[in-house]
Amino acid sequence: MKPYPKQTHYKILDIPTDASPSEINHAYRNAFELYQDDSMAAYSFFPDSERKEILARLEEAYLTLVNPESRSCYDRSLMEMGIMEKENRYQDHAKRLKGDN
Amino acid sequence: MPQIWPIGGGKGGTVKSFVTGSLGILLAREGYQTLLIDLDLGAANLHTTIGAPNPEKSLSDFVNKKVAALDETIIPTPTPNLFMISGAMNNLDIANLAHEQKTKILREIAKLPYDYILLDLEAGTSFNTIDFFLISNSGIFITTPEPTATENIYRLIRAVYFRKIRQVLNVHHFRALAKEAEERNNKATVTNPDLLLDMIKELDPEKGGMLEQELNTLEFGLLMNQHRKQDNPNIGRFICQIIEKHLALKIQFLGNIAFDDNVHLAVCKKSPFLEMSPYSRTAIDLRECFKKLLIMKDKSSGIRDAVGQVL
Repeated sequence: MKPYPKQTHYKILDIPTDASPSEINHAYRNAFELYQDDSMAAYSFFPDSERKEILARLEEAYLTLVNPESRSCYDRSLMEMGIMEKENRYQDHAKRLKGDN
Repeated sequence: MPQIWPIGGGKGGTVKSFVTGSLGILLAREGYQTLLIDLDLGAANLHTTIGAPNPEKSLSDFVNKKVAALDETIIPTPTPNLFMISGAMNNLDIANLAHEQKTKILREIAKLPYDYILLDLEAGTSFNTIDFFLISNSGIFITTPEPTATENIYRLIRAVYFRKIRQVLNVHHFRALAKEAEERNNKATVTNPDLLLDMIKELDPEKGGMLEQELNTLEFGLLMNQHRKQDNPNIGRFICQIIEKHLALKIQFLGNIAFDDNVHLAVCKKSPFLEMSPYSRTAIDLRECFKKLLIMKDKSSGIRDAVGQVL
C-alpha cells in the first residue's frame, strides 16, 4: 500500500472530500473497529507498532475533519498543494455519472 | 471448459474438506456435473465427508502411471451428478509432487469434461497448494475466527497473490520494468502491489494497464467457518477490508458458517452433513454462501469475457 503519511485524511478514512460530518463519524467508527487493540483481523496482519501508527493517523484524520474550522484549514492546504482540486474533479465526475444514471 | 474452484485454508482444523464436500453436493443438486478432487495429498479424506466409501482408485494411480489418464481415477459418489478423485492412498511419496507431475495433473484437470471442478487443497503455503490454487482465478479461502487461523490465512493470501503477480510479470516480460520500478522506489516490490503498479504505470502506462487488468481478473472469496455465537460476526468482512486496503486485492466475503457439533457426528457416521441436518443453522449458512458464490462467479465470468475481448 501507499505509505500512510502520504495519504490525505480523506483517503485514510476512505471518504470523499465532500463527506458530511455524519459520514466522517461513520467512517471513523468503522475504521476504529477494524484496527482497534482487540481486532482479530488487524492483529495478525500488522506488527503492533504499525497498527498503533494507523490508529494514531486515523484519530488525527478524524479530529481534523470533524471540526469545521480545522477541516476548512486542512482543505485549503490540500488545494494549495493541488491535491484537493484533483480529488474534487474526480468527485464531480462521480456525481455526474450518478446523475446520468 | 469447467469452472474450477480451488479451496484452500491457512491451517488445518478449519474443516475445509467438509465445506468443499458440501459445496460439491449443492452444485450437484442444482444439476451441475461436478467433480471433487482431493489434493490434500498428505491427509486425503474428502470422500468421508460426502459419504463415499474408501476409494479403490486414487490420484496416485495416475501419478505412478498405473492408469494412462486422470479420468480413469474418477469414481461416482452416492450423490447424483457428483464425482470425485481421491487423494493419494497409503503413498507417502505423493505428498511431495515433483514439478513435472504437478504440471501434468494441472493440464489434465483443465481438460476434464465437468461443469464444476472443486479442488480440496492441503492447508498451508506449500508450493503444491499455491500452484494448485492458481490453476484458476476463482479460489476460495477458508478460515475460522481464531487468531491462529486468521494469521495463517493472511499468509496464504499473500503467498498466492504475490506468486500470481510474479507469474504475470514473467509472462508479459515485465521483469525489466519491475526492476526499474524497484530501483526508483525501493518499496515498489511484489510485496507492495499497489505501489509497484503505480510505478509501472508511470514508467509504461500500457503495460501498467495490462498488469492491472490481469490482476483485476482475480475473483477470490473468503468463507468464515466454525463461527460461534460469541464470535464477532464481522471478522471475515474485516479481513477482506484489510486485504483490499493494504494489498489492493479485492476478496469477496461469502459469509459465516455456524459451528455445529453435528458436523463431527456426520463425519463419524460417514454421512453428508447436508443430508443429516438439512435445516440446521450450518446447513442454511452453507446454502446462503453457496448462493453468493454462484452469483459472484456468474458476474465475474461476464467480466472475464469482457476483459478477454479487450485484451
